[in-house]
Amino acid sequence: MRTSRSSRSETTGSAGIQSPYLRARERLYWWFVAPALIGYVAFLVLPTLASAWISLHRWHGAGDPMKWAGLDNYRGLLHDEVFAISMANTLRVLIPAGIAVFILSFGSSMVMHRMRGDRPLRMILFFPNIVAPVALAIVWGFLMRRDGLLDSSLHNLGLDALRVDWLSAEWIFRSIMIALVWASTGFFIVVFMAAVDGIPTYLYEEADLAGASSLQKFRYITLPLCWDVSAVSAVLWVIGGIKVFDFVYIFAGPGSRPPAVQSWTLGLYVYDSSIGAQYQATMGRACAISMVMLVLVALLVWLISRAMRREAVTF
Amino acid sequence: MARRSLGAGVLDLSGRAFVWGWAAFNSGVVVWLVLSSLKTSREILNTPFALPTKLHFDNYTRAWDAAEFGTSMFNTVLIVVTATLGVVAMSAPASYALAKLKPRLSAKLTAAFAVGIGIPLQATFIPLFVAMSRVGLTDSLWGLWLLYVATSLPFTVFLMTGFFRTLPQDTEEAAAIDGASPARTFFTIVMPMARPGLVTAFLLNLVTLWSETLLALVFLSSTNKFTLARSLWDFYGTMTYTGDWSALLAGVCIVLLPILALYAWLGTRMIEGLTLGMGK
Repeated sequence: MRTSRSSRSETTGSAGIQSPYLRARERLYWWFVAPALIGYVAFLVLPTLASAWISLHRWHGAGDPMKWAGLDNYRGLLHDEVFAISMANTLRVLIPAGIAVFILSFGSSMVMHRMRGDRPLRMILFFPNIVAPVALAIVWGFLMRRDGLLDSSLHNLGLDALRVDWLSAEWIFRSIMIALVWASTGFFIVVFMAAVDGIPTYLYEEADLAGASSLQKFRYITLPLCWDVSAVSAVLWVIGGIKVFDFVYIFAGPGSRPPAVQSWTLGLYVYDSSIGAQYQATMGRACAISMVMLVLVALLVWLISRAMRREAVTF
Repeated sequence: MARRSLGAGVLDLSGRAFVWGWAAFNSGVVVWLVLSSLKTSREILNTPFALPTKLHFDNYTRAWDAAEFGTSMFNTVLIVVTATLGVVAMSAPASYALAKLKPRLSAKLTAAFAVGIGIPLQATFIPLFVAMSRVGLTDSLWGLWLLYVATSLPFTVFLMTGFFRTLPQDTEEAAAIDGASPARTFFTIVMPMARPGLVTAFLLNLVTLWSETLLALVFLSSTNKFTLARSLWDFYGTMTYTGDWSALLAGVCIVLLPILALYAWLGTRMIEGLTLGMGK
């Protein structure tokens, strides 16, 4: 960044402030940026603002006049049991499952960093990320159902004590979290591997000369240099985790209607109370929930960037 | 190496065993899926680990006909490929401008695009649905195309801005000194240099949009406009009633195998390109 800026100011100096070339560059800038910017504003920014507006109304969808409701939709969520379940489940995805993904992916990338022929391994571990969540959910259903692959494997291995009904109300969301951790960890392994591969080897060589143990090398070289990537990964996890919807809908339910509320997430709740409503859409409430999602993302991203920044200072 | 303690060795070894076991599990799931898609439903339920006694390719024809995968395959290829081309064509100039043309103003704009990655679709689809139904763009492939292009913009711009920053400045300056206009420099000098980045952005969007379900679910309602993932969604609903598990798994394979083939061919490109825009 900085070098390119200084080289630009040199060109400006030698060519004069308003050279035809620079003016052409200036015009080109807006021609280049405008289409993407217009698409972004029209399809993402304005709809988000419109959702915020709708969330302040009572509205059953097209044909029904919108009635101003102030913060009623938000107040209603405070006493809404389904919202409480969906919120708790979403937080379980974001925090405990996120920590599991972090530990697994960071640990695996440390191990794989020292292995030869890790490229095909990366490909295989990344693989679930390219599969449609609907397809993953169907296959995962065969794995976790009663007398399914996991259940009968445990039985054949004589581990009957470990057999549980993975799809029961008690276990269903834990099963979903296991599946999500399994499906996403490969992505973060790839991200961490790229960071670890980027650490110059001379740092380790110098540490060897200074007589550092492998634990010390990890503590003082690998960990600090993976700090930024860890922050980016945490943000990406939050962004991806908040939207979880299709996997849950298919894995936990029959597909033609929503699953039992024990497995709902905020993303599923928004769909079910708006376009996917079984009886009557409550658009105001759906938009209020979507605003909660947005605030949750913003809050967590802010917390992550604060927490990670403060820690980095200690190095 | 000689200084490595026994504890670290054991940890490393068990780590390797874990990673290999996991890879074996992933491969095992795919093999199980393909083999099971050739069995009868009774075999899938009663002997889930056995090989098929007879290869039932008729599962595929049954799934193909019942879910109308032919139509949705055509729709998916058409819309996903053109939307991916569209988003790359819109993002490449924008990212170039953000990365190279006016750095000071661009820092804020780049950040604004990055914020877009964090907006969940759930926060946008209700107003979008209402607005687009007024102009006849719901239950329309053209409408879905617009949505796919627009919602992929923030990520693609973010990824490619990171990529354009890594390209050297001197070639462009040399072209400028030779009298090439900025537009010409972009199309004849920068774009060819940026090919690896364009290909990566294309592949990553292709894979993502191929699997997209939420927008397809909200915006499409007629089966003749369905995409593959959308067809599989409904097919699952039907098959849980009829209990035709073998056709269901054949359907999963129909959706999965084309993208798996692409991944086997170009997966390294996707994986390596993924981290381009990060940590910069």
